Amino acid sequence: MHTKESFINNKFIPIIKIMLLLPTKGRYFKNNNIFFNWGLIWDHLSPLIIVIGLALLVTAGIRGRGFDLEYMLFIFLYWFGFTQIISKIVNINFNDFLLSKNGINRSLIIFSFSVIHFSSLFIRFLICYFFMLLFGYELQLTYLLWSMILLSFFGISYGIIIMSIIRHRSFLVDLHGYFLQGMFFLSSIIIPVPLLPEPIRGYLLYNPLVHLFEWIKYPTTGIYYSFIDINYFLQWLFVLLILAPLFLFKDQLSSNG
Amino acid sequence: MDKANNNFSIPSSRLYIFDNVPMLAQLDRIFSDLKLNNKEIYHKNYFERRLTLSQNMDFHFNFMNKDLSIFLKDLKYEDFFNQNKDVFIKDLNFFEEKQISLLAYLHLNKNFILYDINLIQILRSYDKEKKDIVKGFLTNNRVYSFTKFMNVNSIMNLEKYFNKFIISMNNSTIIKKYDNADEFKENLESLKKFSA
Repeated sequence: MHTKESFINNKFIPIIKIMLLLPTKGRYFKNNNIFFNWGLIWDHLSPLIIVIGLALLVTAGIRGRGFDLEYMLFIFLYWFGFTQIISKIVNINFNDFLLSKNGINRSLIIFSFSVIHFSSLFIRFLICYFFMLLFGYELQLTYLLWSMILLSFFGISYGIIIMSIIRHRSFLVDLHGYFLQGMFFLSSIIIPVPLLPEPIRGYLLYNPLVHLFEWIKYPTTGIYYSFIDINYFLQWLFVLLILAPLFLFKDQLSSNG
Repeated sequence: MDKANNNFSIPSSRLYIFDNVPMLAQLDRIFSDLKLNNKEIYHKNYFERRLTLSQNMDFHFNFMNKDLSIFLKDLKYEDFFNQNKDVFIKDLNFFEEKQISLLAYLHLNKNFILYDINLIQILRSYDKEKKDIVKGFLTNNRVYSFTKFMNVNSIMNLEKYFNKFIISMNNSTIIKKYDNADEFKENLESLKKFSA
C-alpha cells in the first residue's frame, strides 16, 4: 500500500476520472510529451454555443418579445443541462469494466455521473455569470444558484425513476425523448405561461417546471404572479427525491436476477 | 511456443468452473452463495478498449491503493509500459493486452474470479519467465472460472496449471470433482457430453 486508503481517493476519484474519459472516445492531441484530451473540454463546454445563441436570439433578436438576457441565458443553460442529464441517465450504460470492480454498483455510478454533470453545469454557469458581469448586467446570484441546484436535483431524481421504468425499451425511450422536447415549449421557457389565456394556462400550471422558471424571472422583471408558487415545485422535488432511491434499489435488485 | 514450458506442476491450486452464467451481473447472487467477500472479476473488458494502457492501469491500481511502479518493476513491464502507455487498448496486440491485464489482476487480488475467459489461451501465450510468475500467483489459491456455457476445449490442458478441479454444470445440478490432474484429464471426454 502506498497511501492510506480512503473512499474519496481510491474509489470515488478514479470512477469520476474514468467516467470523464470514457465518452471522449480518444479525441486527443498527442505530440512528444504532450497528451491533451480536447474531447473532454469540448464535451462539457459545447452546450454553451447553443445556449448563448438561443439567448441572444430571443432577447435581442428577430421578434423582440421582451425577454431579458439576465435570466434567459441561465434558463436556456439550465434547461439544456436538465434535458442532458435526464437523457444520459435514461440511456446510461452500466459497463462491465466498472461494475466488475469490488465496491462499485449502479448507485455509485449514477451518483458519480450526477456529480460530473452538476460540476459541468456549474462551470458553464460560472463562465456565463462572469461574462455577464463583465458586460455590466445585474444578476440575482441567489435565485440563479438555487434554481440551478433545485433543477439539477429534480433532473437527477426524475432521470433515475424514468431509467428504472423504461430502460431497454427503445420505443418508450424514444417517446420520452419527444416528451422532453415538447416540455421545452410547455415549461414557460420560450412561451411565457402567465401570458397564455385560460384554460391553457391553468393546465400548464400543473407542470412544476413552469413555477421554477417563472420564479427565476421574478427578481429581474419585478412582476409577481399570484398563481406562480415555488412551493408547488418543491413538493414535486420532495416526492421525487424520496422515490428515486426506491426505484434505484428496485432496478439494482432486478439486474442481479 | 515451447511445449515443455507448460509442463510444470503446482503444489495446491484449485480451479472451480461454473457454467451457464449468461450475464456478469448475475455473479452477485452466486458470490453470496459461495460466501466470497472480495468479488473483483477478471473478464474480457477488464481493460477498457476506449482507454489507454496507462489510464487503465492507473484506474485499477489507484482503486486497489497499490503502487503501479512496483508491479512494473517486479514483473519487468517497465519498457513495455513506457512504450505503450498512451496506446489505446483497442490498438494493442490482443495477447500483449491479455498478458499484462491478467498479471495486473493477479497482482492486485487474492481471490481470482474469471468470467467468460479462455484462461488456457492466455496462459499459453506467456514466455517461461512470466509463466513462472503466474505459477507463483496460482499456488495455494483458488480460481473461480465462470462461463456463459461450457466449452470443453477451453478447459483442456488446464491440468498443467491446477491439481484440483470442481466443475459445476447446468446451474449446480451436476457437480464433478477431480482430486488430481490425471483424473480431470481422463474425464474430459465425459464432460463433453454434458456440454454438448
